[in-house]
Amino acid sequence: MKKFHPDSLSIRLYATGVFGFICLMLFWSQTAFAQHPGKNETVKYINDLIGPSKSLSLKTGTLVVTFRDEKNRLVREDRVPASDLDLNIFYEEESGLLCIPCMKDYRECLTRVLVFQKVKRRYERFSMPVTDEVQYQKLKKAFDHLIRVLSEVKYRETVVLD
Amino acid sequence: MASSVFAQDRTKSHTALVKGMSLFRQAKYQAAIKSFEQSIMFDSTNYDAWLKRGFVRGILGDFEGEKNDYDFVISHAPDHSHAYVSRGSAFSRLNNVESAMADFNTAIQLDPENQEAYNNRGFAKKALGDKLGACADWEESKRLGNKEAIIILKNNYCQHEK
Repeated sequence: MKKFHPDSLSIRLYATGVFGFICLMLFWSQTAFAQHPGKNETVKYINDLIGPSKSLSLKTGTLVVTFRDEKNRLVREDRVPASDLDLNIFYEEESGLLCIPCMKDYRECLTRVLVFQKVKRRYERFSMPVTDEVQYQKLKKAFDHLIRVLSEVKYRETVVLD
Repeated sequence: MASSVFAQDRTKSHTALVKGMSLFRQAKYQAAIKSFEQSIMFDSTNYDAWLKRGFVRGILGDFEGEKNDYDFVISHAPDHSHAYVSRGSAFSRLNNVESAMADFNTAIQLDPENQEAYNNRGFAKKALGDKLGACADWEESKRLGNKEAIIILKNNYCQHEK
């Protein structure tokens, strides 16, 4: 019986095929099982909405919102771990605020620093000034998505922002 | 007629104060100051407006302006315990710890249950190197329910002083 002896070209073609397949699978898994938009895109979307005097950034799983005055000096910084926030986001029309309460087990999850006064206080909710209900609805969707992206391991949803 | 005008002004003053608080919550600090100014213009005896304007001035780093607002309240309402606590804090920020101590002492004399006054006096005593006194004040503040004092003592700052 004749034995099959692959030549070097066949081996190379085989290896290239396997490598290509693995790459394809990795690409597919990245796209099929990833949230969309990703956290950085969502943060950018939020920043574009909230205007230049406020800025949202992420430090690992923590939301950091900074507030600047008219002279562009940093006056306030709010920090809250995304995983400590409840998803019952609501609109406080009287104050013009989007509010996200802390989860029951993480009361006073938000730390606020008033930079000039060197005062650090803890609060029971995250709040973000909004111009009106239309902006609130847009931000609500974005924050809901961002919090879930950052805190839910199995969250794999695609949302359309705007 | 005169009392009716006065009542109207008081209402306008209150409305401006509420608007200022809303702007303050939205981190629109300059606009909030303007609203508090309006409130004061309508009713200069609206001490809440003076205190709040002082606080916002402090957020923006104007500690002298902050202190001046508290000065006004104290000169017109010398039994206003909260005003002494606020001015004491402003003195601390202006590195005038002795004056801060004097104000916290007055606040405690006026209101022996003023947890904020004990808490802030604790910081002033710490700055003066009186760690034992600071810890005693934080203990008292904690007993009265002050959250910051609870955290300070939880962090074992006073562990070696017991």
